[in-house]
Amino acid sequence: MIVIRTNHDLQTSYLYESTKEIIKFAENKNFKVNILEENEITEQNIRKRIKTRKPSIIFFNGHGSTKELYDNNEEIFISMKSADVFKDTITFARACDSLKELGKEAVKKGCYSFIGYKNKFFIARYHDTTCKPKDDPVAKPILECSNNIVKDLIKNKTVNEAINNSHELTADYILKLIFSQELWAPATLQALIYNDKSLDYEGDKNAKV
Amino acid sequence: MTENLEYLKKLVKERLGAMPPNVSFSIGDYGDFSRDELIDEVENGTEVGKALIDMQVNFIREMPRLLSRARK
Repeated sequence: MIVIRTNHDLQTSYLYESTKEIIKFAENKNFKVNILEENEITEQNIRKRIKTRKPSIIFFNGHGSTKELYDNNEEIFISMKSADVFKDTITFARACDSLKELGKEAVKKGCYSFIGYKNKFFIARYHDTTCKPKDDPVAKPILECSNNIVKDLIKNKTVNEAINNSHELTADYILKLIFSQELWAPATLQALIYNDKSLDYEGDKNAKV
Repeated sequence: MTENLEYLKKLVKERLGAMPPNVSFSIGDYGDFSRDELIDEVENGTEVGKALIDMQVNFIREMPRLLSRARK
């Protein structure tokens, strides 16, 4: 498994932090996890790692657009042209908009299944925990519902099962948040629901590790 | 159409106004916005403001469907 994680602004720091749990989880399940971060995030490096490690899952965390993914310097490092990089993998891009065109192109070029978001990825967050994203109760359900997809893939669930389980976990959180007395609960609710609607995949729904 | 947009803007600003001031939204590469900044974005009709209106409308539409999925 390859985890690509950028960390250059507040938004990506939340994504970065939440990958730690996934890495630990994967290693406990005897997955070999290869991490690409900071200036290692280049197209050339990814191709090199894929060639030597042959990962079944690629998990990208960072900014995206309909046709591109961005590196740690906010430069495009994967575009429609280089979408073949995801060939023979199940890829989950936790990035805005990338499912729309990049996901389709990746599947056209041999990616088994590309999971991602069709719109912006929202994170509601609490100012008091800015330096400690993992302790942020406002962001926790949002990151957990997307992390759950990777955990399920590691547990050998199909892409379809992983996405459905994420939808169910989201629904469980919605119920809890509706009845929550916390003033921040509506913000988490809104972000959760928006991301859930935007979550989808291209390619084989039965793909699994 | 303009009336609808103005109504939506008002609705979204009211909803955002009910959020505590120490909560913000990080919206992809647009950045991180506090409650008051978000209200300004909606008022000014920026891309961020439009994304927020989209989010709020989606929230109202999707809630019943999502609740029906919750595990008993």
